[in-house]
Amino acid sequence: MPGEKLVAGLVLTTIGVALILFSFSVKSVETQPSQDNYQIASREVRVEYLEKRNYTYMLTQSFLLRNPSNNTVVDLVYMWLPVNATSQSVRLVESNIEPLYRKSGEDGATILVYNLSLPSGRTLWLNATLQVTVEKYRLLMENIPWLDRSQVEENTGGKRYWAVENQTYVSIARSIGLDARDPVEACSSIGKWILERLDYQPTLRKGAEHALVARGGRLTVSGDCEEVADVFVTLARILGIRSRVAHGLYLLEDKDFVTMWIKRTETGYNVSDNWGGHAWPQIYVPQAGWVDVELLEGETVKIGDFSQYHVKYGFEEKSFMGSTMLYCQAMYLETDSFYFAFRRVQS
Amino acid sequence: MRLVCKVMIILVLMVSTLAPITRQVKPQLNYLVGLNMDVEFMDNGLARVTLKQHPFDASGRSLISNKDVVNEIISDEDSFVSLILLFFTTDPSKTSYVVASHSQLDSGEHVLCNTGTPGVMERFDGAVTLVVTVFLNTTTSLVALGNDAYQIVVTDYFTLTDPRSWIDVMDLRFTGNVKLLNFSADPPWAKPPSVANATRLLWLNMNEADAPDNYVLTLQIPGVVFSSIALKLRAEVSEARFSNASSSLLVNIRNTGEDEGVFTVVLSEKGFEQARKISLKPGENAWVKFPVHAPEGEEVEVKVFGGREQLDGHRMTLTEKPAGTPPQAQYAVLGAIGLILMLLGALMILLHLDDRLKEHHQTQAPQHEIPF
Repeated sequence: MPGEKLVAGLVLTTIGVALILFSFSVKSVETQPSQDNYQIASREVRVEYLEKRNYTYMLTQSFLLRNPSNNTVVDLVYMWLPVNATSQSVRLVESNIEPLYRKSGEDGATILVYNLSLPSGRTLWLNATLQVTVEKYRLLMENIPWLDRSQVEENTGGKRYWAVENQTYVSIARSIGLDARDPVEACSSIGKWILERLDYQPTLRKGAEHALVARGGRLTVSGDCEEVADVFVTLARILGIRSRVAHGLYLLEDKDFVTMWIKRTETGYNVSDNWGGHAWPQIYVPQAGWVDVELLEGETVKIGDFSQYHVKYGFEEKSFMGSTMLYCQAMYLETDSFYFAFRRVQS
Repeated sequence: MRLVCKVMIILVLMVSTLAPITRQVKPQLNYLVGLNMDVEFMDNGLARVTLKQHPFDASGRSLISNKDVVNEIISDEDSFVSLILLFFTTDPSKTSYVVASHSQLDSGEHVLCNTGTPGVMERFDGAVTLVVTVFLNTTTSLVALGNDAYQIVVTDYFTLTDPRSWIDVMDLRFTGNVKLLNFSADPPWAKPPSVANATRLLWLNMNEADAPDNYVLTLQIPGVVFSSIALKLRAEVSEARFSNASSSLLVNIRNTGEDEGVFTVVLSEKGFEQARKISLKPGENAWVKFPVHAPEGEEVEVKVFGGREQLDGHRMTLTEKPAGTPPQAQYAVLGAIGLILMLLGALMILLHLDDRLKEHHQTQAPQHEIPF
């Protein structure tokens, strides 16, 4: 039929024109420079302290030990000390009993080991006084590069509490952090995501996998400071950011003298109203060291904006099963009371 | 609260002391557990581990007849399997093992344990036993030294995770063609083994201070094969876009293989090597962004790795225009095909017009012909 060539010709021409237009349109979109082209961003890596101030406390930590058995017990007693770390220095001033030796925990915790003998039913106070200097700081971080490949491969894997292979977490991390330009921006997005979904409830540590709860078609982060830290570390590690959990005490009161305590009772434990057991995440920035991240101080994401109220007792990074930090424990002797008295001596 | 000694511990107390608002922690049964571990190193790099546990109270009285306690230990089998693996590896998820015998109360077994009386190792009859065979070639503890010689570091993970805990008895045996070449233990103040011969090393640890944290063995083990199922990850750097304004480079990565995997995208520029991690399903692609520190016009390199293997790599110049990556070529090809189709179409239309013209001439011609 004579019309066949016309139809075929028109179809081919239309397809051809469409393909040409499509290829041009894609190219033109991709080559279009950004609208903010007139102002070129700085490229220099910038790490600068906007604020840096030391606060020194004399900390006396006292523990009441009791022998609950019918026999005299000779036991090793382990006392955890605040650690020397980025933005914190610690010096042991005195202890009422000479320690047997000092040892390190799996992730660098400092532990004094005492060899004590206690007759049946008797109690004993074990004290240590320390000078703790905490650095309050505010960091400016710009154009921070992502870590190199070896750091990513060695230090961003999963652990018992950090479910980096959980597909829900993988998908969340992608949606909130993949298009982040640098790790600090990614961490800020993670922090905001957590805070928007946080259902704060004191709980036993359950790890990131169990902290994510679907409620009313929405994911919430359920738990306390440890869950917040675990979820943060999990998401950060999925994105290739080296991150860990810091454990310690938080001074809830801004006073020259603060005492917080835990006492064993017949039914469990009582804690003082100002008890400040705390955990928070940290990220590793090679140009700055370990940078603290606080999401529970003022309901805002604070990265490198660290207050003088945090005292670090240990970290959890390499330990697969999670680090044990018990302040003062023995194998056979019971610890009935934990007292922490902070006296601010210099600021 | 459950207090397990010589082993695990008061994780419950630890956590509760960290939660700022916790007021009460409901106490549960406190007990301690004596731990004995037998490890048999066999041909082909297998280690058969038998963990024997015996619960007792703070006064040293056996709790093996307490069903609640025994059932609790038995029901914790998964945790104890993980702990056994952690004696040999830093990542249990990558370790091959077989539970040869599940946790059970074995009245014929016994456990040796110090219950607080200095220098006395008490014998407790009955034990909850768990037997796990570990493939050492899938652990991080096995280091090949050559000629079938290997160094194996057995780490007392109980001590590592809680400084108060330790293994009361560590009984290492070497069977088949496995030969003990050398051994040591750390820290240096740890007590030496009670039995040390070619086929057996036995440590009786009275307390945590005496117990080694690491048992370091040099063994000759014939027939160890380091085999693994290698994922055939494939991916390409399918596109890269530089933005001078935001000093950033967007890189598109596509998983071109048949396996889902985690890929590492690496950007090398101006003294920095930056890496981003991304998980992709087969056929999936995604963009990742990097801050750029080099000036416009400088050459950078983008690579993608799957595990240790480099899967793709491109050198490119930082210009606002998209770098010369495969999709650009595809668009050019698409345009060329469009042009050819358009020309063909035009040709067909011309042919059609030609036909019509000829048709017109044919129908018009007879009218001018003069018939003879």
